[in-house]
Order: sequence, then C-alpha cells, then structure tokens
Amino acid sequence: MTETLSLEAAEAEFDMMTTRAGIAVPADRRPALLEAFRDFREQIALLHTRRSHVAEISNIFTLAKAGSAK
Amino acid sequence: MSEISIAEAGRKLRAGETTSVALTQAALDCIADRDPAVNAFITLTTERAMADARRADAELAAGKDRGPFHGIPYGLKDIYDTAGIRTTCHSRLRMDVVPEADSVVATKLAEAGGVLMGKLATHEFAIGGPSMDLPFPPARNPWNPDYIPAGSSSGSGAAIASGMVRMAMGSDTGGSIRNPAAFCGTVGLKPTYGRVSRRGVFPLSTTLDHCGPLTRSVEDAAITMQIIAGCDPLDPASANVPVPDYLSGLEKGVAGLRIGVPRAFFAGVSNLMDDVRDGIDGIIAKLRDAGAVVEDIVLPDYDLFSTCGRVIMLTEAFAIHQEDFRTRPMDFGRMTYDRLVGGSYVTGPDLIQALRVRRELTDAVNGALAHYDALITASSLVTATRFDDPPRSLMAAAGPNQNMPFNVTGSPALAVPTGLAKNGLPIGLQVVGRPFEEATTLRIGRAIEKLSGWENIPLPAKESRAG
Repeated sequence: MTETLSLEAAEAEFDMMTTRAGIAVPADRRPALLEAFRDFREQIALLHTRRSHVAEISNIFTLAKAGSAK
Repeated sequence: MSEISIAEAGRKLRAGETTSVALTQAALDCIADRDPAVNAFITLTTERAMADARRADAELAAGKDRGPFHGIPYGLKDIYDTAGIRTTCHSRLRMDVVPEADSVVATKLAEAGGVLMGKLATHEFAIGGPSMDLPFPPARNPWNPDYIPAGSSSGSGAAIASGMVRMAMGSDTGGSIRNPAAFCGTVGLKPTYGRVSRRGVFPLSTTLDHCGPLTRSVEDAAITMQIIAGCDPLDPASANVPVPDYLSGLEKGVAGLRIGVPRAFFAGVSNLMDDVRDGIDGIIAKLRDAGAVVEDIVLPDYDLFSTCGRVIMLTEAFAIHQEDFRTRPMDFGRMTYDRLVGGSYVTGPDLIQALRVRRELTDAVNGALAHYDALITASSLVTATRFDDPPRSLMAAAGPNQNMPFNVTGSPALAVPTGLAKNGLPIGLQVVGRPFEEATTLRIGRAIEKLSGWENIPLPAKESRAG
C-alpha cells in the first residue's frame, strides 16, 4: 500500500475516484489537483500498517480516567 | 477599552464607572477605525448591539445581574446561527440564509447578558481560505495587514488582536481556533470534544469539530467557558460531564504540576523558526523555576496524527457538501473546491484505518496524560505569513501549524501567546490537557501568560507593520 503511483496510474485512479464521486474536474484545475492527489495518497499509506484487533473504531472517546486504556 | 479585561469591565459596570452602552460604543468606534484595514466583520449588528447594551444597563440598574458576561461586547464566527441575522459561512452558497433560531452558544451568551457586535469573517465553510474570490474579503492580520491572520476563525482572531472585542467565538476542526490565535497573538481555547454544544453551528467535520473562544487573556477565556460549557442533549456528541469552576483555580500557579513535552513533534521540523523554538524553551525554563516538573516525552509520529485527522476531516466535509459539489461546484471559492475535493480521494478502507489509528493515538495521548497534568508543544512553527507567500502544495504534509493532533484525540488545547519574535510578530505555544480538565489547562495557560510577560505587551497599533 506504500508504493508511489506512477503518473499514469495516478491519473487513472484520480479520474475513477472523482468520477465515482460525481465530480467533473475543470481542465484548468486538473494538474494541481492531480499533484495533490498523489501527495495525499502517499500520506494515506501511513495509515495502512498492520494494527492489532484492539484498534477498533468504537468508543474512540471514553470517559475512563486518562491512561486507563493502557 | 480593549485593555480592560472582561472581569474589570464587569467591576466597572457594577461600580457605576462605565455602562454597557459606553463599552459597546467604544467597540463600535474601534471597529469603525480598524475594520476597513482588517476586514474582521462580515455583518455588523449595530442596532442589535445597542439594544443589547441598553437592556444590560437597564437590568443592572434594576438589580438584575446576569453574571460576569453581563453587558460585555463579543463577536461570533459567521458559521454560528443567529436568529434573524444572516449566517453566510463566508460563502456565495449561503448569502441569503437567515436562521430562525440561535445556535446554543449564541443563546447562552445572550442569556448571560452579552452584547452581540456582529458576525465575523471565516475561511469559506471553515476550510477554504484565505481567498480573494469569495463574496467578502478575507480578514487580515492586525499586526500587519499584508499578513494572514490564519484561520479558519480568521475574523475572530483579527477582531481580538485589533481590540474590537475581548471575546469572539471560533470553531476548531484542525486548529481553526489555535491557528489564528497563534498568528494574531490571542488566547484560543479548543475545549474537550463534547464540552461545548455545536448545535446550530455549521459543521465542517462532525467528529473533529469543536466550539471555543478566542480572547485577549486566559481569564477572559475562563469566564467565557463558564457560560458556554455544558451538556446539550440535542447535540449528539455532547458529553454529560459536570462543569467545574474555571476561575477559582486560575491563579494557583504551576508548582507541583507535571508537564510533558512531545519535543519530536516540532524540534526536528525543517521550517521551525528559531524564535518559536527559543520561546518554547524559555517558557519551559520559567515553568521549572516556578516549580513545575517538565520532561520530554515521546508520542507517536506527528505525521500519523496529521494524516489521520486530515483523512477524517476531508471525508466528513465532502459528505456534508457532496450535493452542492455535484450541482453547483463553481459557487465554491477555488480554495474551498480544491480542498474539499480531497474527500473524494479517500476509500472506505482508508477511512476505517484512520478511525482505528485515531483510537490508538487517543489512547497514546491519554496514556501520557496519566503521568502528566498537561502537555506543552508548538501551536505554529512560524510567525504569521504573508498573503503573497507562495502557496504550498494543496495536500502538503508539513504545514506550519501543529494543532490537528488534539482534534484527533479530542483533548482540550489552549493556544497562549508568549511574546514577539525578532520580526515583531507574535509567537506562542499550546497547552494540552486531560479530557474535560480545561480548568488545569487554563491554570497552566494563565501561569505562562504571567511568566512570559505577554499581558504587558500592547495590542498592535493601527499603523503596525510588523514582519
């Protein structure tokens, strides 16, 4: 999940994702948005490392005493 | 008048040494003098303000005292609903939106006797700015109008730093209270997630949004918190946690308190200004001299906090604006469009991973806070930047503000100014507390305010061209 997308692959993925979201990106904005897309996808890769089952999304905020989750 | 604290103004009101009408007129005069260069206000509610002020004076004369905010002028970021007053979100999409009801915070401030001066500039929908292609001009930094005040509570920061009001409400989803507080040299408090109702405030990202005040002083922030904090059963994220007395412990100092410093967050970052680093280290030395135990600690990498928060924020924001984005995309300002579209780049697994990481990061910060009363770290790595500074990449990872981690964790976080850099612009830091322990956070912030001497630094003059 941490690979850097080639420009061609990034363009294909960018087009697919924006189209699926119902967005028609104006031509004059495409280069900057495509660059941002590649930057963001690289950053998102940080999130895709193996995590334990304890890392679940329920009760992100709890009123337990600070530190008791450790 | 702007150098008179809310508490001192209250004392003068009750001693008959001033009136709310006089305070309000002084605020209006200051706005008339400074706002043409600063653009803090989108909508000035002069008639409403004078009516509020006259009522406040009449009530005090009749023996009805609503408490420390009685008769005090304030402003609201223009994403807070106000009955009968347009609430534009600084956007072409909402030019004619006039809410029928007040937001909960607006109601509480009115019931506390506050005087609403008007609605303040923001980045469009609290995300797109500073922008020149919106229906209202962007707010400017009172220390130098060629510099940005940061955002998104840009008008709130500019209004405080130019002395128009002592308190202005902001909102904070990734630093939008603490960013302008840092760049404008004001206090800015993001309370614990769930502490202050968000009902009637236009959302950016519902699981990251917090409402809080920007103020001239820590005491002003504590007074405001006493009014706006509390459970709201109709806000799905509101927490039913007792509200303590935010003022009684404010002057207790830091002797015996333990403070952790996640130094790796800021110390090794290439764009950290020397003056900001030296300012933080100087305050740490003074806190130690005042009896606090201050130790470096290690938290997960800053980039993990930042990416986690931005994935959640952009996804939630895109979901909120999706329909308008499809049907009238060109009505958004360009910067808003360019940022919001990032929400479409996120897959389902990306979001779930971000939420799982969020749980881990929240546990890590709360784990550290089991051993410390608070954390201190940078709020901004730099002083205010110019409007014409080259823009960063739209999705650049390393921005100059380091506030997102505590939106991810929901922790209370207080931006405190600590002095001026060599370029004459404000520098500061942030104090991060345990969940729902804003009182301790404010107590430490008050100690820093005194130790730094910030309270003796005057607001920028109209002619200020710092930088």
